[in-house]
Amino acid sequence: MLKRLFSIVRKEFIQIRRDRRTLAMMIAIPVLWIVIFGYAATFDVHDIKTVVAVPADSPLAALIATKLDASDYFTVVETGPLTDAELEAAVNDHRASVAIRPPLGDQPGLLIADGSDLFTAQAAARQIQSLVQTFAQQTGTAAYVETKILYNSDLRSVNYMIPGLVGVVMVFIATLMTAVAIVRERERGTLEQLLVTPVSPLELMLGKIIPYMVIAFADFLLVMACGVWIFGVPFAGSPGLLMLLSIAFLFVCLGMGLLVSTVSQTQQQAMQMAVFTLLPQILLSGFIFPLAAIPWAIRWIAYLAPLTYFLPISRGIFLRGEGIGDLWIWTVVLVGYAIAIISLAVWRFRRKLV
Amino acid sequence: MSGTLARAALIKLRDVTVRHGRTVALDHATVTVKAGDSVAVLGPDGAGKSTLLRCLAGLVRPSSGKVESHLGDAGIGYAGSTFDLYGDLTVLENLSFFGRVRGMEREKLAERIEAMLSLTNLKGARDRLAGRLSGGMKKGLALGCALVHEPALLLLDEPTVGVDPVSRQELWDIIAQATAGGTALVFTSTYLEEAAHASRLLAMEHGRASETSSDRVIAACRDWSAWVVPVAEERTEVRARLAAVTHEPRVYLRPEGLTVLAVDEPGARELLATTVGAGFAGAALEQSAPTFEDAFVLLESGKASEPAAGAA
Repeated sequence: MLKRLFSIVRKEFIQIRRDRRTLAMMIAIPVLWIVIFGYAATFDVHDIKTVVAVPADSPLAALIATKLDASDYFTVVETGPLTDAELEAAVNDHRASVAIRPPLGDQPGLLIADGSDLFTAQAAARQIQSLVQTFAQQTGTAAYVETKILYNSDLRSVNYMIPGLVGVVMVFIATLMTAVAIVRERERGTLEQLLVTPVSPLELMLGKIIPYMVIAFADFLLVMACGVWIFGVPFAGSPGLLMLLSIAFLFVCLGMGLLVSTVSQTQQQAMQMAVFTLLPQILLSGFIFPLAAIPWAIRWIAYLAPLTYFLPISRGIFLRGEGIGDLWIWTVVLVGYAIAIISLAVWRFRRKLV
Repeated sequence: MSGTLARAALIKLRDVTVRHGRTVALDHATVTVKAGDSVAVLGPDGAGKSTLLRCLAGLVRPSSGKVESHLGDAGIGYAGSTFDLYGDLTVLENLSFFGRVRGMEREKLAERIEAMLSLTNLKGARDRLAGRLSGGMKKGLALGCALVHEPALLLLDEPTVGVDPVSRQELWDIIAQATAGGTALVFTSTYLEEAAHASRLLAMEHGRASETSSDRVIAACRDWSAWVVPVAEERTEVRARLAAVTHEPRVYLRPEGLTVLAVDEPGARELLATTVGAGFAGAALEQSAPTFEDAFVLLESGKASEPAAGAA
């Protein structure tokens, strides 16, 4: 029995050794998990960009601003005799994630945070309340801070997750399904049948990706509708703009699927490769763990992931009601990404055909 | 063959070589296929038959040489050696898809689909999933899909492999009917008898293609038989004995046993005695038809032209 068992085990090892891609994947995936969960998977946000209102005649406020800047959690980017409206504008304009007016005398302090950036807002509120409590104990005062959360005022997780999920759904369907569908055609030999017809590579490619584009877009609309009507996620911006920019994002995802198909011989390989590109996107893009909490040694990987550029668009339109004027940088990056990846994928797809 | 000269060339391979890494799959092949031709590409496994066919189909890019196609809109119909249609589409959907993808008009397509269903005897199976058809029916459907657009050139890679003898004959009847209208046919096969379905024969060995006549190959072994001594446990010993004697290609080992190509039984026994020893010469012999490889052995050894009478 042992001899038979050993022969099967030995045969498996020979096959694993010959399937270089799978072997590489089996080594790369645990390394990826270690890196992601060891370093990046954290909700502890550091270096939160902060604006502090410091009246000219308040050395105490200046001291608080200095103390905040010295802490791990905050990076003070602007101080000055700012009004509450100016503090709110700083958060609105993305100049800072939080804005603080320290408690002075009998006047309570004010913390303004962006609720569309859920974990940063929660971390900032937690830290500020803790700091003020310590300060009050030390000085024997009754100092406290009022909190004003913009956009997602009750800090609902679902308001943060659903706008991200619409992007994740598109990544998943478009990348994985496109890659597998094209490789299936090659694996079953039907691609050869198509190649002897007058179908051009472009027609073949478009014919293969359009159905998945339609399905991915339908899924996107479904998640969006469920989010709004079932989970009550506020939709503050323009649905048309979100759909338009989603199409740009969809092209990136389809390009990735196409690219994966050109480096895979079998459906199994395509699936493995697609998952390998999906995991870092889901875990590092800011969909679950806040981007600001990821150390720079790993955060650069997040900037390779197209989802990283789509999430600010989706959350911006959903929760903040932002228009193209606020989102143009992300849009330019996404469109550039789409052009680059589709060009590369088409070039490789044509080369791989015959 | 004189009529061939007047017919238009559909496709030409000019000095085409195909390399897969360090392996030369096709070695300086020059082949012309004309309208109405029926070409059998015969040769043992690994000879380069499929590569030649795939080159004609445009599925392989030559490493050197040129492929000249004058097929125009009529194009190619191609069926590979394995089932390469959509198993999750029905018979009708497959035929319809391959017609549409070639830009056929709706009425013409409907008419051709019916014709193909009749031709391939698949009328009763039109709504069955292609993946659930029998081996012979799958081959029939592959033929139907390759022919639905009335191609000028039909390329079939081992069209009858894996099919029982009855279905094989039916398939050849279908192919004959389908090409009766002038469609040129190029097919590969390892079965010598299938050369009879072609007007031209392309013999392939080690990637090299040479034109010969089917009559010549068939005639090469018309009077010959393969005489087989079943060998089970003494294979190593037999192999050693064969290696020790002067090279005699007409005596060799194949999976069924020790094989001798000879005109009659006494001739076979005599050849066995002079090669592997008297012990085998007295063994029971089973007579079978020569294979394609056998025909080439006879041609190459110059024995094929010997008079039919007498021993080897």
